[in-house]
Amino acid sequence: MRRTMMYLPGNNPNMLQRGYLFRPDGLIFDLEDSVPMNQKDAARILVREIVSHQNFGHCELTVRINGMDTEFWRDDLEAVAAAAAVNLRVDGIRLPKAESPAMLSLLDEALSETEAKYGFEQGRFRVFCLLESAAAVWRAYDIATSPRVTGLTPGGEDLAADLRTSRSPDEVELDWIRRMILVAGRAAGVDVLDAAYPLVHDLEGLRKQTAYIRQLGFDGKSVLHPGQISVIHEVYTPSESEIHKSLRVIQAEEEAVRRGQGAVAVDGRMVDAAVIKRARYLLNLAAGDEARP
Amino acid sequence: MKKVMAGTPESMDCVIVVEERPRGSGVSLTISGGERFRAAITDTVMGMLERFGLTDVDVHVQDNGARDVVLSARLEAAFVRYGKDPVPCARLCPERLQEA
Repeated sequence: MRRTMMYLPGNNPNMLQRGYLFRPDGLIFDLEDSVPMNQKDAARILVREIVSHQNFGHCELTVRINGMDTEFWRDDLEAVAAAAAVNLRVDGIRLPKAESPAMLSLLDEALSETEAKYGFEQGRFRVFCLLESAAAVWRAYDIATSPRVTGLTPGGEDLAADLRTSRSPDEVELDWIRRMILVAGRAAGVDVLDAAYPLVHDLEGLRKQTAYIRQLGFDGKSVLHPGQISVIHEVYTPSESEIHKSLRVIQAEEEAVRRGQGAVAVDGRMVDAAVIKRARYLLNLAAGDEARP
Repeated sequence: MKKVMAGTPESMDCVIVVEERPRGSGVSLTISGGERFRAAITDTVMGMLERFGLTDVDVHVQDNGARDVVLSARLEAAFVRYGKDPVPCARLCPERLQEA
C-alpha cells in the first residue's frame, strides 16, 4: 500500500528520525532537492547511518538519489546499499529526472554491480521514476517497462517549467500528464503515485486533489508535510457502503464457487473478475491502518 | 591550519569542528551542550578518531541533542572533509561485502 510516501530532508536528523511517527505508508529519504549542494556528502552519510540503525515500523523505505546528470548519484547508490546491508527493508531508489530507457539501463547496470558487491540477489533494488520533463512523460511507457521500475510519479514544479507554464491551483496544466502517466503505468503493470501537493497548509485543496487522483486511479501521493498524511488516508479509505458492497461481492463469489456456478449477480450487476479484483482492492485499502503492525 | 565543520545547530543535531594541531601535540576535545552525556560523547569521538586514524587535532562538539548515530555521522562527515578517506562500508556489515 503506497497511499502516502513522505519526503524527509536528508540533512535533517530530527525529521529523518521522527518522520515515521506520523505513520505514512512509506518514507523517502531525500538526498536531492532538499539538500544544499555543499551538504550532499554529509547528508549521504547521515542517511546511511540513520537508516542502518533505526527501526521505522511498517514504513516502506526508499531513498531519492541525486539525478544521473550529477556527480553524486553513484555515491548515493553505494550509501543505499551499505544501509540495506544492515536494514534489509531498504529496497527502493527514487530516481529524479528519469528521462529515457537508456538512463534506466545505466542505472540497472550500476545497481547490478552494487548488488553483486554486497552479495544481494540481483534485482533486489526497485526503482521509482520521477518524470519531470515533457520528453520523459512522452516516453512514460518505455520507462515503466524498463528493468526494476516499480512506480511512476509525475513531476511538479520542474515539469510545469518544462511545459513553459506554472502550477495553477487546480493544476489543469498537469491534467493530461496525469492521465498519460496513469495509462502508461497501468499498461506496464507498475504503481502510479502522484506528485506532492505543494501548499502544505491548504488541506481542503489537498483533499480535493486527492479525491481527483484517486478517481483517476492513482495508488497514492507523495507527501511534503506530516499534516497531509491523515487527509490522504481519509480520502483513500473506502466508505462504509463501498466496504459493505465489496464484502457482498466476495461472499457472492465464494458462494458461486461452492455451488459450482460460473456467474453471480450482486444488486443486479454481474460479478466478473474485474469486479472481484476491485472489491479485493477496496477491502485491502480498508484494512489499511488496522492491518499495520 | 586546516579547519573543517559538519552538522547544524538544529535540534537533534550537533556541530563538529575539527582543526589541525601541530604534529605530536595529540588530540584535544571540547564539548558544549549535552552535559549529561559528556562521557558517552567523549567515547564516541575517541572511537571515531581511532577508526579514522586521526591524531593531532582539536575536536569541538556542540551538542543539540544528537543521538549517537547522528554524532557518528557528523564526525565521519567532518573527518572526510578534513581529508581522511571514507571508512569502507564494510564496517556496517562486513559479512555482506564481496570485495575488499
